[in-house]
Amino acid sequence: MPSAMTYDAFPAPDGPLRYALIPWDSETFGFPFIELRCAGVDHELAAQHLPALLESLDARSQRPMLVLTKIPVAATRLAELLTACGFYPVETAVEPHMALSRFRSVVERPAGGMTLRDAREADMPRLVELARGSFRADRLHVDANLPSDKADERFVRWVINGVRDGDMVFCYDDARGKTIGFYHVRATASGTVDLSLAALDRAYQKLGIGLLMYQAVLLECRNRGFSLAETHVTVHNLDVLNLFARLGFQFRNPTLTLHRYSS
Amino acid sequence: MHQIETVKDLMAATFGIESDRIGAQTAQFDIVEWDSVGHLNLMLSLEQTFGVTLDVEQMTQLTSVPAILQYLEAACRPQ
Repeated sequence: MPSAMTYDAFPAPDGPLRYALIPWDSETFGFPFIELRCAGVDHELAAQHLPALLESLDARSQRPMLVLTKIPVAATRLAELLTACGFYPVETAVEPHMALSRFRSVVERPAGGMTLRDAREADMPRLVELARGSFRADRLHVDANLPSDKADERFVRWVINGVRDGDMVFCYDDARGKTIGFYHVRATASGTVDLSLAALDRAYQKLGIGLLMYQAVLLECRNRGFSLAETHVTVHNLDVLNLFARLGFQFRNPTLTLHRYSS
Repeated sequence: MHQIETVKDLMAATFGIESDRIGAQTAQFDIVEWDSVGHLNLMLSLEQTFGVTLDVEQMTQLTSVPAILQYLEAACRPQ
């Protein structure tokens, strides 16, 4: 779902802080979602401009409004400044990554007769069903200020748009042809795939089937010529972190996401 | 060797635990080592040892020693 956004400078035209409206989340939730970029900005400059920027957004924007920002976990002074300005932490995430040339199957003989295939338009109802019930640990579901049905809707739109935009969306089917999971994968930089969104039917979780699905997706990406796989995972989701560790991924860029909700 | 002893030995080897931690009523939630990957490996071991083929529905049901023994009794019964 994410595509390039245009960031405005604050103060314009070339101020140190940048912000942009997130169109897909604003549309889904029905109020403005704004992403603020302040990581890497000199602390004194950030401290000087951040309150004025937020005041300006508060004055100009409709309510409610959500401003979010992502910063390195180690940027504790910046986190303190953001907290003083009304932000609160909602997610710590890391980026699993792996060179696919190094990837080796963890399970050599797949059990259970499952198959991986490209999703079709006809799969949409089942994909929607899986997307609607699968996500609970992400920052949008854990933020009590946000309606969880809208957070569900965001992931439903994500997978629908993925299929319609021609991204790689894989269905994982059991031996009878029932789709028990999906994986949305986006080609990003040359030779790189972003393992964007995955869901597995709750009835099939904690049984190793997720591992088989992830493994099948990685093998397929390698077969299609991709050399690097990367993604990001909230540290709330220990099952998925352990799964990536078992598959041989390494982890980088621990990031803290903060929200500021104005009602 | 009784089938239960074979299953207990398989489980002990798969999960890397002593077989005396596994009883006739042991279920997945009783053994911390019986996690998602452990379950998958156990299913593969059952297939190899008993010559059966498990589909995904069966994999979701074989989450206790009684369930595994019941399945094997039916699957390995002479026709």
